Amino acid sequence: MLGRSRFLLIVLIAVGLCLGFSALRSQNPKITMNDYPITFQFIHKVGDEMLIMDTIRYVNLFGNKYSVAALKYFVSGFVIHASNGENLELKETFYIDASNSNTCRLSATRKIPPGTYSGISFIFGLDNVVNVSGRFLNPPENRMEWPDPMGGGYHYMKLEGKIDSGGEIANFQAHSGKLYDTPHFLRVSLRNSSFTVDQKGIIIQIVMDINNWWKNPHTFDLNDITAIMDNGPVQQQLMENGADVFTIGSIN
Amino acid sequence: MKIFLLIIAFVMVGMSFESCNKRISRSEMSFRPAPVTLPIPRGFPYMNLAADNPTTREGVQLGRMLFYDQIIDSGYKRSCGQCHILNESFSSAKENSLPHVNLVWNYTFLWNGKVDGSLENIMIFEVDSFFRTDLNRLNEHKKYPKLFKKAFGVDKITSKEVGYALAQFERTLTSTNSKYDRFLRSEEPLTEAEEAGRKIFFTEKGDCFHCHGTILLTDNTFHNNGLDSIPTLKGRDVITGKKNDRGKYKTPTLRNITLTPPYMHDGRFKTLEQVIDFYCDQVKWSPTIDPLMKQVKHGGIRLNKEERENLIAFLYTFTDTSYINNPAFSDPFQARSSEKKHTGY
Repeated sequence: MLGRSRFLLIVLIAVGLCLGFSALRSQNPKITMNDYPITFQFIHKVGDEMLIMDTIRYVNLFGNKYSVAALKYFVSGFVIHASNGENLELKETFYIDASNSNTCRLSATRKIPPGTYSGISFIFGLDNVVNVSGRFLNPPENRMEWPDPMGGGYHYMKLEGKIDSGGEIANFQAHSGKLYDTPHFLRVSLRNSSFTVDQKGIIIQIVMDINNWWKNPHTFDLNDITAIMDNGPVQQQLMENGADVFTIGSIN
Repeated sequence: MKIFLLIIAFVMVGMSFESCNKRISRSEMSFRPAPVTLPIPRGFPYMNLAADNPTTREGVQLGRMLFYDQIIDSGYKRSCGQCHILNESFSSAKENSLPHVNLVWNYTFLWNGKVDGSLENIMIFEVDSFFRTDLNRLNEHKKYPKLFKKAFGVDKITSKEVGYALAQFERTLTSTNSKYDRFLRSEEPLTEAEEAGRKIFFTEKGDCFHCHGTILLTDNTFHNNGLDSIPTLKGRDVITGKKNDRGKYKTPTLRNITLTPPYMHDGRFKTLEQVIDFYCDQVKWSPTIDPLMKQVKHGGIRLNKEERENLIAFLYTFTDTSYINNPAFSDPFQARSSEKKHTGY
């Protein structure tokens, strides 16, 4: 039989050890020592030029001289394709405002293990699971609302600016989204996006060439890109043009 | 046995510390404000609350008194409540002052966004720069020092506590029960005309929603909506220094819009009909006009008479009578004699 004092001592030690281990566990939720962070840096260009807002200086394939006043969009559903055929899915949705550089650098919560990866793909916009009214209640994401009378959810993109047609200035607004029940999001598979993770995190620069929204396969006159939210065929064409809008800038 | 006694000793020492704490607490009993929880209504964003100014019953009550008391004006001529009248959704037709409604969801304040941050920032700005509050008058007042002590635990009142009290009252001024809210909650249907107006509002036919969207009916950002071909008054550009911000003003909320004439930053339109007529066929081009003004080359959205009426019918659903009849928002001095109003008692 143990004496009362020894019994109490053992109980106290046991409780102390439990509390100690518990505290240690709460400080280290997961052992991720061998995984590394992945960051996506979105860059916005028009042709070879870096985007400068509010200056009518860009020319598209149709010949419109134009400026960009706003560029806001969602990217989501990132998938990192491993060389062994396994996919790492990042569940996050990111909101990007080209005029706010803080929103252009996206750090994924999930880290990735060392290895060789064959490529990256992501969704431009939001898939139908995410794209539900009420999903984003807080600014700035809630300002992307796509009204319920047009199907609800959120704009995938708001790309707005001005066109100079020989001195006559007009506005354009390339607003894309799900129209009624027809989604127009796009899974973008980035070419030349293989990389190896070894000893450090990785930063993947992704470039959006705004001029590519207006061509291939559909050449747009920006004078027609106004009030297009309720225009199914143009929504479809804009999505199709999006296939080559994004490219890899660098991987470091 | 020794160890057992040691544990007892530790427990007793611990209890004596606890006892000390209680004695300290008793000496500070005068500053124990009652916390108030502000529920976020369904579908609304997080509130913009300052972490160092928790909402308390004492703080809100004090803020309400200060809001209606001319004591905060260095000239003893004005109170907040004189230019922000409850029946007018805390705006004033006479002054064309911006309505105070749902400001707890704002991050920039005033037409040109001169003040940003939280309600604390704008209220301290009002105290220091607009009213130029004479703090000696408050500190020497026979009752206010006690109320500030109860709300904030301070012995000397500064503009910070005055602003913080006002901010606590202002953050309670939430309108979430208009007919439109009840419609969204599936509690009340819209009439045929209101529904037709909703479709105009929330499609590109009327295209109101891009600026007056979200449940707050404002995007809380800045736009040039085409009022003038040459903007006469300076707007957002005064703050940012950017030429491209000329003629841009903050989008006002449309909540209680029927109660807040006149309209626009300069109050040029007296009625909602005039506002809709402007958006239909009087929109003017200027270099900084917002790209969202899609139909500017046609002068506007060109609604017919019936469509204009339907749109206005829908705007009426934003009126929240429970807001303007809320006794917690009213003048606490109303029942008292007017000669005492400006002194707080």
